[in-house]
Amino acid sequence: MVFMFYLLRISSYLIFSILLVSCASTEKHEVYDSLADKPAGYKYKAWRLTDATEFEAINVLLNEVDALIENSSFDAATDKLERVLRIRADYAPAWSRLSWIALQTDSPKRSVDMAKRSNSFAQSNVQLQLLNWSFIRAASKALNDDATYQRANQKINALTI
Amino acid sequence: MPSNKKKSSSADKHKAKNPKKTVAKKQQSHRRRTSKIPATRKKISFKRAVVFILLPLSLLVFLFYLFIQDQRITQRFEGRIWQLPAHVYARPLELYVGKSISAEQLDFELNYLNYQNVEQLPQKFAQYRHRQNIFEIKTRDFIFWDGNEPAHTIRVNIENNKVVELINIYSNSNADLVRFDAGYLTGIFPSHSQDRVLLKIDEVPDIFIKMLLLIEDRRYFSHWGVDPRSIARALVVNLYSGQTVQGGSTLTQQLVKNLFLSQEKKISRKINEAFMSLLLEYHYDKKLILETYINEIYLGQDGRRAIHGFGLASEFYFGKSLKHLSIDEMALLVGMVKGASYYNPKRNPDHARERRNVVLSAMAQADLITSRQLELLSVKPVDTVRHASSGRYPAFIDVVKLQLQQDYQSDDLSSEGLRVFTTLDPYIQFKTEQAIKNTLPLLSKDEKLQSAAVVVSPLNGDVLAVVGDRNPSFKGFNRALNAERQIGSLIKPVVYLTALEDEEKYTLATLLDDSEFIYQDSNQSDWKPENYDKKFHGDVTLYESLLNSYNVPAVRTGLDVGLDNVTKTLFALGGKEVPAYPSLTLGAVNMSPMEVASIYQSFSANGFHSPLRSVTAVLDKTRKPLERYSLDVAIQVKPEAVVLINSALIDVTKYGTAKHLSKNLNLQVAGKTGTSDDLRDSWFAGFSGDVVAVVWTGFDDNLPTTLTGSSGAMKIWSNLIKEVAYKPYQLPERTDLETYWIDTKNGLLAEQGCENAVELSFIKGTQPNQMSDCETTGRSNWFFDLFE
Repeated sequence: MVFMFYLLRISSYLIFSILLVSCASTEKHEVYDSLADKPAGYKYKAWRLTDATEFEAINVLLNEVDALIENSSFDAATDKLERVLRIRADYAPAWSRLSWIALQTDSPKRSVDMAKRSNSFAQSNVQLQLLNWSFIRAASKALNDDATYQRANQKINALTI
Repeated sequence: MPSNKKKSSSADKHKAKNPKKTVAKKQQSHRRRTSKIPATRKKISFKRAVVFILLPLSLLVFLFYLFIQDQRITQRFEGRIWQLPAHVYARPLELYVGKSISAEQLDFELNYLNYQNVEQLPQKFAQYRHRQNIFEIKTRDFIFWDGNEPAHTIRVNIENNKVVELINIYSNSNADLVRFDAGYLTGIFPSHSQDRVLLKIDEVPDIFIKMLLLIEDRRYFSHWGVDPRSIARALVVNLYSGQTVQGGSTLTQQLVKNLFLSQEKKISRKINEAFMSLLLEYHYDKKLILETYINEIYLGQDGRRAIHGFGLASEFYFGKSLKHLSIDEMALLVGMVKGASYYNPKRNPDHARERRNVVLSAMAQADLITSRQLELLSVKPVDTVRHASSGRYPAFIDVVKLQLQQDYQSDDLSSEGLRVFTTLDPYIQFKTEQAIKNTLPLLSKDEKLQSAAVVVSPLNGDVLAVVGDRNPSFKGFNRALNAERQIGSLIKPVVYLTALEDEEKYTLATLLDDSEFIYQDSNQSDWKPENYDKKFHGDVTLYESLLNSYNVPAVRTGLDVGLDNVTKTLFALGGKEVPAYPSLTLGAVNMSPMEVASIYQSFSANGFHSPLRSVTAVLDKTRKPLERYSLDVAIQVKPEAVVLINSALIDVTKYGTAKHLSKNLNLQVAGKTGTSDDLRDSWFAGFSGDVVAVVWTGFDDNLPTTLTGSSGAMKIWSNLIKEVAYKPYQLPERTDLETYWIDTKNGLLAEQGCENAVELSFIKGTQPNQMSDCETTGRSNWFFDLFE
């Protein structure tokens, strides 16, 4: 009985650990795998900052952006994001969304630039950097820019470790 | 008939006097007789001719005339009736909790938008009440490129130059984001300078139409374009009074006169007018004719701009759209139809009030208003909005036109009724103008000394303000855009950035040689660059060289890194292509303030360049989006190297050639002075966290001034930034950068207390690895601090 008890206990620990690891890895992979899988209307977690509460206006605009993106109204969404940036120029997720929209609208060069700008404001936000590098990787592939593609891959690998 | 009788009697007399010629005469007489019969017939034919030829001919001519007039009318009405100027708007003000804005600025913005300051809680659109730091505002609704922004009634509380509370007054809930209407800047006009805001008949309030018809044409919906009863009535009244006191023209006739005919008082014009009115009414619906009249009628003058139509007139005189006017305001506009100049409420308020009351009385008689309303409305004062005349900010409008000309023909700009949304910040523009107007006379009594300034946003390259002359409203030569002058030391950050991009070779602590230098070129005479103080300083760090704007080390560095590379960096930062001469390293290259602003925008954004833009969107005349100019950004330099330069540019404003700035400003900025040879040009370019500004002063004829960059342009820059900048420039956090204390005497690592030690930034791994011996090079600060 005791043996069975310990066996069960160890097994439950094992299952829990496996679940935990798989959850964590899902979290990691969500960032860059989803890019190809769910191109439209996908809301990345890194696109919201919890410290943005200082300006409720940003949240209002981001909600509108979400709705516009879901309707594929990318021009209007871009416009709202520019308004966000006029409120807070260093709001890295807004730059990241602009990068994503550029990717959706076949502007890979613009996507790379916007993602780099986002990263310049997201030095301590690994999740967002990872997302931005995944955009850069996708865009550089479209541009046939192998050097940037390789660099993006290296960055993604380094950030996921 | 009498003429025939006369002829026969004279023939008889002739017969009696000459009997020999009887036969002949008989024969002749016979001939005559025989010819008399056709003559009578001829007379009959003539009558017939009149009836059968001339009359039809006249009829044909008349029909041809009608056809021609008909063509004129239909061509005009079925084509484009008017050439509509483009309307240019400033950026809209947005308020939210946390927004940096002073109470003074908000007050300015509301005045700029022609909002009316009232004593009570604002009830009408475009009104506000200001008590200490609290504003209660009822905004106007407005159609932007992304849709309609509804009107809001809000309370704004401003403390320490920030919005701390933003409340919807009626719902008593938080207002998260409020966008105001965009202020009208000017129009881009066709040659006749007519301006109008087109209204659809459905947008015109019913009461206004009733009022207009009551005063101008009571039987409008029952006549055919010409009203004989009105003409007869006017005739009687005018005959009775002995002068022209009443017109009998219908609205249609007035419209025909304004659209197709001259103003001369001739019977032929009146006849034309009548026939054309009949034709117009035959072809077109009454409502369309009325709508055209409402948009065509002349209602005053704003400088060269002619105000046409009630849509524009209501905005021009009352600062709101027609549908938002009160009855007395509508009555005033309707009254103006009789004489736009004589009843102009801005110039002749008494005449306007008198006429308005006539209209109101007529309304009361027609039961459109009650006698109580008449009593109340008749005593109301004539309030019009203060209105700066159109054509403000000519230098900025030049920039707008330049951008638009890339996508639009100039004819389209002045005829298609475009609505152009620009980036101009009216408050910053005002403060820039003030800084130049107030500071320039303190720099020199010579009124020929000129200045220009450009202010842009670091974030996105939006052009916020442009001044092109010491008199900002001057519409001539625009120095901000077109005066290309030597930029002097403004180039040095570009030279040193090129060096710092080669991180293996250059850091801020790299020692540069500041000793006599001769540049030899087989094709030209030797060139011996000198420092401003005419001295050489031996080995100096790159940091100090930039701080003190030494020339010789800049030349050596530029030559070392390669002049072509310097020009490439300049281009990558948003500058233009320039020839790679050695003197480039000292700024012997001509640029306009706008071009310099483009380069320094890149520095302010830590290397990310956004092309300068003055237009964000264009709508067509039906207010549908036509063109959107999105934010663009690119980086072609190493951002970490730019941050190193910026760290030095901050110190330029604290310890270097621009150190006086730190005494005048309460926030951290970064910038660079620039002076060209013989003090011909005085420049300052710099940035805070929220604005980049470039100021130039000098003479148009390129004569020397007595001003350096710091004694001239920098003073204007300082007075400007003091007023418009809220955010300090902060170096970005970068994980690839580290700071170390460096002994500036030898460029080695130092202890913090070392006399010549400064804290410099380095790309990781590029810092010096040797320690300086501070004891031999200076004193320890902490020791002296003990006694001080």
